[in-house]
Amino acid sequence: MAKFTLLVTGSHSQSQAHHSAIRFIRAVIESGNEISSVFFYQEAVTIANRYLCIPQDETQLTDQWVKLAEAHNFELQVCVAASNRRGVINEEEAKMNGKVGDSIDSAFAVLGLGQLAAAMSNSSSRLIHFK
Amino acid sequence: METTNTTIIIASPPFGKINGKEGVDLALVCAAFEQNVQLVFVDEGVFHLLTTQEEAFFDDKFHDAQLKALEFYDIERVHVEKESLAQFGLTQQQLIDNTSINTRAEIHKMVLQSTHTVRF
Repeated sequence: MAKFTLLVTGSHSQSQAHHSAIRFIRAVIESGNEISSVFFYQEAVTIANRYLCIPQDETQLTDQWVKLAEAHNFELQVCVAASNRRGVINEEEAKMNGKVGDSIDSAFAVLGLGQLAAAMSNSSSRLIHFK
Repeated sequence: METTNTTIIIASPPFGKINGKEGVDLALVCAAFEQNVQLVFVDEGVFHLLTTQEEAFFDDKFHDAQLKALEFYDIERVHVEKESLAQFGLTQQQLIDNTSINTRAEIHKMVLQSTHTVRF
């Protein structure tokens, strides 16, 4: 059985990165392999903004991510520096930066880049990048 | 524990995009996690390494100060693709210190020998 760590950096609105990553995850699971974690970096972090309102007849990417992660027991991780820079913040970061209210979907975990580096140091997991 | 060989390729220019800065950030963090990091500049990414870049022309913080911190993270030299330099008529003398000029074929080999490669 192979293990995969996904790095997603493409924008949810300006690239196919999220659609491709989700299809890849389904194929990994269907073939009896495993997803270790998914790390969102660069423009991809805006997927974690809970104020996204995508027209109802279009793909609800956030819902798809959350359902997949729950069903297959992997974490949705967003980079704190990349998400702060793009207005996707949790309560703690909001307080620290003098902002009112958070903007992050609670299904996503806010973590440092070190989390991705640690996953890369674990040689049993292959890194696949969607941009 | 087996050493992880990580190649980070910067192909984006220093201005107009944040890819280069966020790529170098990842390189620094991977190095802090004691991975053997190869930082490679190709295509318009080579402009990150010019010594003549100035904040005055940019009206924002110039990210590449972080390139000066590389040695503190045990990234002793950065690799620059020879063909990319030639494409823009640049020479090694115009670049920051401690660059290693490598051909596309050499960089290809580096990637093949890496555990992970991430391109920005």
